[in-house]
Amino acid sequence: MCNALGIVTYNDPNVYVRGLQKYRPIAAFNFIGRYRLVDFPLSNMANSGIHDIKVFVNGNPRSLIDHIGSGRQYNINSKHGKIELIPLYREDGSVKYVSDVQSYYDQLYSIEQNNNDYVIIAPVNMIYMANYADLLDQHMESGAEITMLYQNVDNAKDHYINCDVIQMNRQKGVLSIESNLGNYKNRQLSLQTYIMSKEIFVSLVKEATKVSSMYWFKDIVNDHCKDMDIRGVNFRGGVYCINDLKSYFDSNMAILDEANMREFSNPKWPAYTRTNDSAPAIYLNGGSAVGSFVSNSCEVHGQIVNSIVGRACKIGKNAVVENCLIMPGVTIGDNAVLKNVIVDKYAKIVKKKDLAGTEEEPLYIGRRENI
Amino acid sequence: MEQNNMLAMILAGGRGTRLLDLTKKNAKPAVYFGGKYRIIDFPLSNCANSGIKVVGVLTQYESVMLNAYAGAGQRWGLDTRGSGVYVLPPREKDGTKFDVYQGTADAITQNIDFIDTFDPEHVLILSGDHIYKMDYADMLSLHKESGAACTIAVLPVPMKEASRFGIMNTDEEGRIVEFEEKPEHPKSNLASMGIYIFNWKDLRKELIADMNVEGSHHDFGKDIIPSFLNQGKKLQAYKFEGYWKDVGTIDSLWEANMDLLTKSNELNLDDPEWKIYTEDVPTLPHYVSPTGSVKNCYINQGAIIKGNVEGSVLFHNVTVDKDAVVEQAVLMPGVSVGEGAKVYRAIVADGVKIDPGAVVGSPDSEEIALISKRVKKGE
Repeated sequence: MCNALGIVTYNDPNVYVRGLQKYRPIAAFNFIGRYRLVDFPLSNMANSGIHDIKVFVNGNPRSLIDHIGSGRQYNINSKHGKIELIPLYREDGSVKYVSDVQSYYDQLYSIEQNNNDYVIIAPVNMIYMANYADLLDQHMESGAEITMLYQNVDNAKDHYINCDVIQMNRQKGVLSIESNLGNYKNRQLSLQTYIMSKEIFVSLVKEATKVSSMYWFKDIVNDHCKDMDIRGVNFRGGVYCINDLKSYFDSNMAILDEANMREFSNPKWPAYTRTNDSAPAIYLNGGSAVGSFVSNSCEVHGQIVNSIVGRACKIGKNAVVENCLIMPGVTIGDNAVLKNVIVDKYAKIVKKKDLAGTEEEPLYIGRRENI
Repeated sequence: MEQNNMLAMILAGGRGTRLLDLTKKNAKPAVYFGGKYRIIDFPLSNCANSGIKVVGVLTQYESVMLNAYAGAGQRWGLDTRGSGVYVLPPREKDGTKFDVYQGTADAITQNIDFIDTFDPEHVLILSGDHIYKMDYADMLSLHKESGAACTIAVLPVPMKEASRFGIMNTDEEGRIVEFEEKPEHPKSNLASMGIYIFNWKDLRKELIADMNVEGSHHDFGKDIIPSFLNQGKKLQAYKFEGYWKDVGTIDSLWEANMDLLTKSNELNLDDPEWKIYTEDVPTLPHYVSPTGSVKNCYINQGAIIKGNVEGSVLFHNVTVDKDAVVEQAVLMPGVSVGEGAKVYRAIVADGVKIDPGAVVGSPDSEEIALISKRVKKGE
């Protein structure tokens, strides 16, 4: 058991993934063929022994309600623990700019009642595999008031734009949290993961709501960099940051590298997801795959090269799917040739035979589109 | 009990000796099939999909794993109020001596008290070792319509093979007039599938009578059905059409797996209207590395393929290393095939390691090799 309440939270409007986000919140984005992004913070928490988790959602929660359900698949004891999905609701319907702090404030009573002494906050657009129990121990030993995870990156000029980056002193004390505007190559990317006592969390939420209704949690933490002991912890594992369509594509494709793949197939630290009870994938005569992930229930007549194919897709005869991200339920017709394409759920590529984006700018085909 | 007022009892105690080492430490119903399933998933999923709410699973041989597996009713959706999977190994009862199940019928006799608590009108008797999809609700409607005391599912088999089966001879209405176990000169090609629906009242009476019959094997096929016929009770045949396979031998288990490699495979495990439920393993989708190749295969999630695989069925967490060759093989969960190793025409049992450079089976062999222990190079 880990003495912490888990909070999985949503992003500020700076993060927007063109195309996909029209249909579902980031938490529900498909990842590596069979997961949704929310599976990763939830699995990390469950594997760390956190059995009490609140998932805050801004955006249409339908797909997440369906996906998370009772939460049983995350291996959380359903009697003394629970996963609670908390969609954002406002009577006047204006939820777009409601900050994470406002959502936490709505839940403050229940958070104060919760008998865990610590709070661990994780985002859904930063994917990594981390042991929160170890990080919590480290936090308690250090005596810091807030611990933040970060990673050193050397490509911040053209990546992670608008994501949080932190400045630290030599003792890893956090001096400020700011937005990455792409001015520097080397930055400390914030993993938007915070560990603190529940007491501090509650007082920060209360304070932030008093300061401004536009305040996000990171803003109030930033305000306190000067008078609180806030420390950065360098996370050394793989981090996949999803903040636009390109980074979504790249993050998926990065897992095709075997070393990265191994991080997600560790039997001691599994990533859980909802099962669909579908049959294994079948390769029929002429069907093949190389350098790819292919999910269950796929029927492959064509060639899959360096791609990720979601559950229950059909790849037609003589079709070639190269460097593509294919979401569940997609049909690729006979003889179609796709390169650098993201195909959203249930789309059908039947009439047009050649679709290509570039590695820099993958082509996006919307959900249920017929092409 | 609501719905169709029928309770199912799955006979899952058999050892399945002809499966050799696959059933050395495991009962036959727990044997793996089709990339992700176990044999018992089929009758259990059929029950769930047919709207049956209470299922008893009669276990005996090496039952610890099977008991835990079958008891997790939520896997099949059998965990709502009023439904459940009850695992029934032999148990000690007040006033009787504790004994193992003597035969298929005895297994039910020893659980009369269990069945009585649900007060069902009908009892469905299934065996836990066949691969097929069947709507038992449809069979029940025929049973009710015909007014029979017992309805037996039958499968038309090729006439020349009929002498291997228990054969039902019927009249035009499908009423069974004669039952012959493995007849030398079969009169019909309708083989019993070992699936029976009984009126519980009739069966209960018969089971109690059978307890004291001298020389009885306490077996449905050998004793109960013949006795029903002798008493002139109405026995109805329910003709089943579709895929059905007794996977009782290494060859037939291998064949049934290979049947899945064609799109038109009759079994169709991917029918959204009739899913076969099983345990889900948390793994990535299967991965074919840049050095790997797959051709005409059936592959479950969690497999990692860096070698060349053709015409094979791969379960979860199988790894095939670089330059390895796997052809016409069934690799059960967790099998690892080392670099440069070769596996031809074989079933490799779960968790077995084939060392780098080792060779298993032969591409021209008529025989299917069963590999249940680690294979080293040069063996």
